[in-house]
Amino acid sequence: MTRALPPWAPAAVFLLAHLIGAGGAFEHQIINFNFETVQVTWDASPPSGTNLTFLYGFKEKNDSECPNYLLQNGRRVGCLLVAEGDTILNFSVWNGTQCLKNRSLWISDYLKPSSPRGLRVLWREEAVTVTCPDLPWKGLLYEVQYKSSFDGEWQPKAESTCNVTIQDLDAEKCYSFRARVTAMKSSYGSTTYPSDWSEVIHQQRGQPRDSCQEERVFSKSVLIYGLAALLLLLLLVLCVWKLQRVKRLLMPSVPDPKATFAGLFESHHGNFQEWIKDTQNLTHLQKVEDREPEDVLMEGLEVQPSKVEAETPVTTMAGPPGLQTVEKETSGTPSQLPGRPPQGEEVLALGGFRFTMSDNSYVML
Amino acid sequence: MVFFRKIFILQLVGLVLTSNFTDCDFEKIRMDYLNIISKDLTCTDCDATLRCEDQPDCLTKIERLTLHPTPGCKSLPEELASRTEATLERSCPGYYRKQKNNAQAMKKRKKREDTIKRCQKIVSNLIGLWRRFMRL
Repeated sequence: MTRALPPWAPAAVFLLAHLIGAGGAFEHQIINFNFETVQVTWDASPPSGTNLTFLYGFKEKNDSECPNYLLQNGRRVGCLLVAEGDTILNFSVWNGTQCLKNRSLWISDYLKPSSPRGLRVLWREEAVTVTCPDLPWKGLLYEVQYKSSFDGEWQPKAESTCNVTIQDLDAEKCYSFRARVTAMKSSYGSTTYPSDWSEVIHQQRGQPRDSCQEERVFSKSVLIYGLAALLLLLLLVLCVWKLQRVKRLLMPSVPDPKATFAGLFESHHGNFQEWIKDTQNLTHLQKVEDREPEDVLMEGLEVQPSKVEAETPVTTMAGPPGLQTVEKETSGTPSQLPGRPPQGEEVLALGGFRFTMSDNSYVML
Repeated sequence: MVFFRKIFILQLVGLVLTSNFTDCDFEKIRMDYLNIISKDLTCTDCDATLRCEDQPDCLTKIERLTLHPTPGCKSLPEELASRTEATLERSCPGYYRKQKNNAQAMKKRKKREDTIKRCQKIVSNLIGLWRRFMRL
């Protein structure tokens, strides 16, 4: 058997939905900035596009309209109030005659303390004490975070006053310090906000520093410069070695005759004439197998007759590469047949060439 | 008749002597709230309407809300009431427990009384008063 709905049922459902919407759908946020100002913001956007009205009162009152609305795109999205100490705020938000929200709360529940200022760091052997002026309310926690230039993460330490001592720090390292204030749950509840972080302070050996990043940068740069220097050194050595080869290519060194004329210096004390006498049967220079092609024997062979002899035309003969012979022939006996050495003179055969030597002649290498 | 008159006078004197909570050891009460009483008090939407100005004022209102039932909320959890009383008795000279004679009556009423949700407004106010006490 079906039952018909009473005529007032739809109206009741409508009213109920309206009431539920009034009580629960209005999203808002409250922030108490250091008991100085209170900011109430809301997300509700009435379909009609009308601006909402914010009524408030501290302690028991609730009839003043917001003196400073926060606007976004020309629409009211919040209200900024001057706080009246640690007390209760009553407020209501209206869309025309419809009350969207009505609340009464302690503004301390939504405290956001101000950031610590005037942070000071005191070194005492291996302990550091970080201090700052306390805020004038109880139930706050002062959290200090610190890290050295070699640490990746901040390390926390908290006390109920802004006098936090940190042990076992290395004074030689550069440390960074920062602090903030949080409200204890037992005194303020769980809907508070932590303060912003204070300015970061850097210190090393008890002295303030602009930054601790220089230390890391310094060690990195030392490494980089060291590697670069090593690389340059290697390049330099390589260049020098290459230059030596090039130098040898362009300017072959004068070969040591010691290697070419075996026994010249050891047995004959550099006296080539004596050496020649002993080795007269040699008709060509011995080639040294381990000599480089560019080590060509550059020799100067000069034969000078004595000055009392008559001047004769000078004949210059081109010998093997590097072997130059300048010879002045004496007048000698006109009856001598060409090709035959004059009397009293020796013939020197060297490198395929024949030289006529007199007593006044000498060979210079 | 004389006997009952003396009892009445003594109770009245007891009420007067403990009405202001000015000589209490507030630090001890703070520690008791932190370690014991706060565990009995929780709220989600902690709206509050009751204020207090100083520590004796806060304790006066806390004591009244906790130990004296109001219309719509017959009683709070028994542990909360007894722990609050014990704290006040321990820390406030001249404070005497007032609820011994009513304990049996409260237990009987508890079977018929409202659930804790209906007393949430009182709990919110209590939490607000206790936190205010902790900040002073």
